[in-house]
Amino acid sequence: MKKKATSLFLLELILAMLIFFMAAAICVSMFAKAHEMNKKSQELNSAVLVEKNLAEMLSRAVSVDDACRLVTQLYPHAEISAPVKDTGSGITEVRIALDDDFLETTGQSAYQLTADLSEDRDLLTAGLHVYPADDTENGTSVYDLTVENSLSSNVSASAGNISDVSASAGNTSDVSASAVNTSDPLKSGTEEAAS
Amino acid sequence: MSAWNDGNGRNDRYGAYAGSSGTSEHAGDYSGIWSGTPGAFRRKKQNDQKQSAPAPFGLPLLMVVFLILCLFTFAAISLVTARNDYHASQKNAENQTAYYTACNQAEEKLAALNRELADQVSSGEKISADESTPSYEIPVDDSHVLSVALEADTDAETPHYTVLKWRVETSAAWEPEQTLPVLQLP
Repeated sequence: MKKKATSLFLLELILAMLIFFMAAAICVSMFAKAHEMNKKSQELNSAVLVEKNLAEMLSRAVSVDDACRLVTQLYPHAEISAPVKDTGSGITEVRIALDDDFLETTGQSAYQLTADLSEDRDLLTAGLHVYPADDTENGTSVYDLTVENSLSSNVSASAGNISDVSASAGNTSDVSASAVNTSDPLKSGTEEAAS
Repeated sequence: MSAWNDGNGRNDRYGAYAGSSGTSEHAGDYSGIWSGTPGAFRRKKQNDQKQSAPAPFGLPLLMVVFLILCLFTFAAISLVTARNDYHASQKNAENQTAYYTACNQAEEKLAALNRELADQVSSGEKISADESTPSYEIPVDDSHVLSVALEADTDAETPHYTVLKWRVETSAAWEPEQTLPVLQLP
């Protein structure tokens, strides 16, 4: 009788362990999926933020050279390649190495921020892309953004008097405020009412 | 009546009760062994208690069920949270893309207006009041527009438009939500 009870208990224990390991395997895969998704969302958020910063900076540029100068102010170690004149496009490529926290680094980079700058008919066009460092060649970017900028108004604003510059600065802050407001209609409504 | 209790709450220890009565009536199942020593009776009682003690059947399974429930709950919560965060990030990225797409269209229009203004000034055409302060709206999404107001500056070396307003505005009237989609009936 005692032997039978012990064997039954052992059988139940083995069965319980089997069920537990099966359930644990499913749960671990769910945790891994959640971790992966969390990493992707952090990556996307940071990429959007970095490209938005660069886009706002480039909106003040008066030429491609000026855009490169502004980029090097923000990212001193940025690599700027000469424009490819042979293809006729005249694209200047700017490459910035970023670490895991999306800060500029000179060491091992986790991501690469690239800006393809071109100028055509008073319009500066910048194609901004963030690639994982090990996936730059495949072309699967985290986030892409294209920014265009009318150069005539910027040239005049930068060459103008102090009041023009302050007006331009005011407009810039309006643009950034609007960018924030896009995701928050309530705040947008409040600020518009206040203004 | 049990062999262990005489009905008055007194337990029969070592068969003393049965022994005192001198009958086997109160001894019950143990009447057969009462002929032996009190020690043999005690051993029989202990053996009975050992056999009737419940084996820990079900306890490991119960623990496992509890652990699995905990694991599943936390895994589900973390997965749902991560998924919601990812959707929010994607929505944010879409909003940014929509905003900059509208900005690009507005910049293209501004560049075209600048070229027209430069041509008009160089050809000596007179700029009308409407042309000197143009304004236009570019849709950002279903409920927002990018509102742009410009002012012509013909006195500058290069005639151009100065930006007076560059702002995202709500195109639809704001209505507070009165209901919540708790349950959608077919």
